Amino acid sequence: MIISIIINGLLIGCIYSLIAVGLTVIFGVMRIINMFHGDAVMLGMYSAYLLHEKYGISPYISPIITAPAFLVIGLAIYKILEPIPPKQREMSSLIITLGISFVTATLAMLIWTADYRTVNLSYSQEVFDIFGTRIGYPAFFSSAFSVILIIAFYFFMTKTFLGMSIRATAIDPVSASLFGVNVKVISMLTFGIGLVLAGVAGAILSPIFYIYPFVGSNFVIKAFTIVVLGGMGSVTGALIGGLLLGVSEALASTFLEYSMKDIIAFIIFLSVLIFKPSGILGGKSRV
Amino acid sequence: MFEVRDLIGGYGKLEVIKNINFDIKEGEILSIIGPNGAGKSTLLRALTGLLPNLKGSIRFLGEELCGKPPHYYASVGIAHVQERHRVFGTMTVRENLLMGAYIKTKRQSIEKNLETVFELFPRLKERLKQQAGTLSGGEQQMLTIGQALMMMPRLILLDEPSLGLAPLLINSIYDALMKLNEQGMTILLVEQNVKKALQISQRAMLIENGEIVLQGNSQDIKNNETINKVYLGMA
Repeated sequence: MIISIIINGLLIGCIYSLIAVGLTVIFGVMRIINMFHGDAVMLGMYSAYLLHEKYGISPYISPIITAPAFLVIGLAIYKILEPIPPKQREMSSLIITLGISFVTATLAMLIWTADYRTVNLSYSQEVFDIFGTRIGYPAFFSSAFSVILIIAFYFFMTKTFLGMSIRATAIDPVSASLFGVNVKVISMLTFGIGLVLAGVAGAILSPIFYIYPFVGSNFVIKAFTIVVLGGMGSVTGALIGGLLLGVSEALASTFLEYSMKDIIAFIIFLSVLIFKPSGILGGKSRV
Repeated sequence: MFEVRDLIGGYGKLEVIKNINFDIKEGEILSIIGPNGAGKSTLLRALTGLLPNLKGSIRFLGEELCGKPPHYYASVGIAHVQERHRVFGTMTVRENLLMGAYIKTKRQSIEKNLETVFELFPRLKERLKQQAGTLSGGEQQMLTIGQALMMMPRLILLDEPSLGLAPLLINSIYDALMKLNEQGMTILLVEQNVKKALQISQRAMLIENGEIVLQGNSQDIKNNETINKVYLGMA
């Protein structure tokens, strides 16, 4: 029983991590608090849903098609945020992206209505057993894809010059520029990459979550909890934080009431801010 | 190779450097000395595009650089080693060195340049996988110079390499600089350690209140009476 709860928590946690990775990188490099992040997830869900309904493209494949669109959205929003002087970045970006978030969600409601939608795959109801735990194939695939993407992203950040320059810019933009890094271009690109990750995460989790216009606000809160939990700007921290949040939610919904599930995120959020504001990794192993 | 003319700049309305004129000749060490707050570091910042309001002319190998962004200076072969050994603390020593080779044309020679760096600072080789933030101050200073060498620069601007280091370490850093210079590297050195700076450089400039007040051969400046009294503490 407890094992199956933990396994299910870990599965969901992987997807949460993927959403948070994009958010943490955006914050780490540009000090931009991106409230639009959840809506990028929502747009990712809808685009996967529509491509699946209309053309029968699997939501695990459609991100390849939609990723460039998210890159463009990212660059466009970055252009809006760019003129803000660095010292006012955090507060101003929070308010601006919150506004963009409301507009996007409302537009989504006008276009797609407030109906709940689901992506029905041929294997949606099929399950298999691990340690006596029944796991649905969609949940398994979604988690597996998330983990693969996070690992790929980790290698991108540590093994490529582009990834290293993103980290260097996050640590010390002035020094980075002295080595030839065009900090403006890197910041813009990072924002784009962060939104691509959010969009891909949306597509990947579309088979296991209800899709509706305001679903993003749910995810953005979870993502921020994870980022705070794992330490702002840390990819490894986002992975660990996501898994922790997934498991604690699963435990809370079983042992407390199901409605307590979403409170857990806030409790963790507040406790981390009060007791260890730098996050579990202490902002030390920032990747 | 490097000519600075009528350079004026500062932060906001505050003018920190006033009407600076000087040349750096290929293969020399030119040192800039002066008291705290004289504008030495600000001048270095101005020379790699880090100062926003800048007027005047900076020519490097015939190209006008004034007004260009900092990353452009790196691409033409100017390395700037900032003060207080600013390394990327949460990146490994190896990654820090690789950042020095960020410019695409430098990436083919990474292995060769790493060997050069290790020859100069063998200690960095032992610490390759360590996070740069865990190194001692001296090792971090070696790392920043190593990063600069990975850029295969034509000119290195060095900001207070002796700051906060034990005398023994200062000596080994200066030995390394001397070696580099013997191999033909051009260096602009900002130092508060006047004795050390005059020892190693061929020429020197004294800056006070953002202006060059004395310029000449290091040997002559060493024998200058005021310098002796004020900066070297000898009567």
